Amino acid sequence: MTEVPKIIVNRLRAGLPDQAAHPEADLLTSFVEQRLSATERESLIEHLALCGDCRETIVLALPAVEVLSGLEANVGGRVPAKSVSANLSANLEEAGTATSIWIRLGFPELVWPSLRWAALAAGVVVAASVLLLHPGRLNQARVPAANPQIGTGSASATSASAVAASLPIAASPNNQLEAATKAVAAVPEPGPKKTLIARNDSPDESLTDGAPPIQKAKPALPAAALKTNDSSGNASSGIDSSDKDDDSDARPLVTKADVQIVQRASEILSSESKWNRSDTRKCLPDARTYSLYCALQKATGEVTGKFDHRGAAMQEARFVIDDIAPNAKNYNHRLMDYNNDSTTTFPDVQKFFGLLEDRISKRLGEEIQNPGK
Amino acid sequence: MPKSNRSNDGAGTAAALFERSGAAAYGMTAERFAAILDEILRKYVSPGASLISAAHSSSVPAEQITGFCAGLRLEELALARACAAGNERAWQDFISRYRQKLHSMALHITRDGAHAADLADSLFADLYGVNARDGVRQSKLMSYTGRGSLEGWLRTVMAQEFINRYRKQKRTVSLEEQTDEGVQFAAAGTDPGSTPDSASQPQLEAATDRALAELSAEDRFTLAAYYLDGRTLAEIAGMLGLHESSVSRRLDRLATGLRKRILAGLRALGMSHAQATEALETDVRDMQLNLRSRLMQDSGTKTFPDSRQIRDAGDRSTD
Repeated sequence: MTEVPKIIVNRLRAGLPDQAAHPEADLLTSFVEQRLSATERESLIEHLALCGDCRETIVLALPAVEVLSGLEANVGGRVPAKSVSANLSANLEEAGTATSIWIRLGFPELVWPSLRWAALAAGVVVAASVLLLHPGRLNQARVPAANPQIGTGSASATSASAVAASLPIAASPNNQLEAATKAVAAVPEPGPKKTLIARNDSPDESLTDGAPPIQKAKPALPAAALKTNDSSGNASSGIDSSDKDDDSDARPLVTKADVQIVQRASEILSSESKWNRSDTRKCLPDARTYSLYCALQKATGEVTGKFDHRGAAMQEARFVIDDIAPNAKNYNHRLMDYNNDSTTTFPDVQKFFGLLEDRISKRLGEEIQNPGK
Repeated sequence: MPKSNRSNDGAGTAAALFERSGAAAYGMTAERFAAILDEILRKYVSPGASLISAAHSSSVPAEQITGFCAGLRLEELALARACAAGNERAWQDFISRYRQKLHSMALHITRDGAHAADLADSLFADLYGVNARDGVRQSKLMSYTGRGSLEGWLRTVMAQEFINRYRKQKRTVSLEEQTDEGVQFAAAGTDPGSTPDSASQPQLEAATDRALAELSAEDRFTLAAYYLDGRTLAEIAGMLGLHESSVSRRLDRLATGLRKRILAGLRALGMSHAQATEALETDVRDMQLNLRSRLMQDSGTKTFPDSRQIRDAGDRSTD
């Protein structure tokens, strides 16, 4: 995790309130259980940002299931081993709550311990089956990183797969990958260079977005490291994925074109009748309805003439979803999953574009004020 | 909608909610339950909101009132209020459902058997209402409004009680004990911020405060929880209803953004880039120990004013 200068910690502490009245237990409970209205939540979180006691209360009041999930995430994290083991032993003693975990997850029948193991075993079998039946899929997202040549090829990933499939050597995942690499590299370049991930077959975000954060070794200043030196002002050239590992947290510099992209995407999705609620991230040229992903892709193409899966507008859109989507924790592909989420309404989509434009405009202003930072 | 129709609809809704709550099993009347709902509506929706009395709730759409009431934990609300009213059967149900859980929660919070028993018993006494005012028991359950689960509310109330006790104990800890624990005290007369080595400190503080003020409350909450409280990603994610990876990404973005904003702020105050970077890297936490801030953080929790209000309201309408 990126460290912050100690002055920030110091000033966060200095902002604590003096003898402020605290919210009632009812509100704190509703906050933990995600049952507050947006206004109430905003008001409460304003207090929580300043009040260490209430933050402490909320953590102590978190259901045991949250602490158990924390146990998995804190391997190598900041929780001392003692406190983790204490949490675990407390949770194990809390038989009633442990039982309710399964009920909360929608599997009341799994309260019987042996069934839990049966469910685990079934999960392992399913996972193994997927790996055996679709071994190549897991390597798709690694193609740009492992084979820089592919990234500059002009053939689509679909055609590459087709060529690879027609080759007799594609018996193992590695061979399949190698075949695809050779096939793509062999195709001549008739037009301008395009990156592989700039197409509909964008990398499987689940391999990056879904990865536990503790597995990501990050530099102290990731954004600085990710800045491009492209002075052309090209909006979507932020991260050239053919040259770098696909980074779901990439944050390229924004340009005016990114604002235009968002405005155009918002126009493309100007009415609910144009909204495709079942996104597959396959954006057809003759489509009449558009998902968030496809609207942004189309807009990027219209504004800049090309598309980058990790372009500034696309990335900022994902960050907005991180922040606004109540179910973001369940998303593997943020843009697609938020679009397809049954709780997402068209007004949500419009708000999303508004927020996205605001953020990009704000970043643009900051970057203009502080060039090179 | 005409007032008479609306009133009829309100009565119908109130009856349906009463039936759903199972309050009748605890000898609670429909009128009493409707009065409890009205009390909660006044507290959270609008001072003039009422489920049945259309004349008083004309400013709030009926759908909003119905939706709000339907979203409450009605069955748990009925149980809690029946307990507060001293219904024996309600207490039997409460004890069978929550007594063991209360002890487990206490153990989870205190991580110590003896303290857990003490905390759970103390809360149980508060819930029962051992303290009487004007001859009427003051049950803490009167402040439960059904907005969250009763179990969650019990956890929260217990956590608050634990923190209050901890703070009281902390205040009585001797200076010697605190020194043993590694607490350092500033020399008398030391004015935080005027340390000779910290010529750039006021500017740094101003730039940092400005950068923090530009963040949203949720971002500041995330920063404080992680960097100030030392919470884990999982805990923060649990509080915000996000995935740990989303919190991780947010923290990275915030840390990076803050750094940039502070540097920009320092440069705007006339520092060179090198000076600004150097000022930011200086370990100000070692230079000054902001005891005042620490004491403010530990300052006493005022008893929640609304809790008392709602208790008073409940007292007036107790069966």
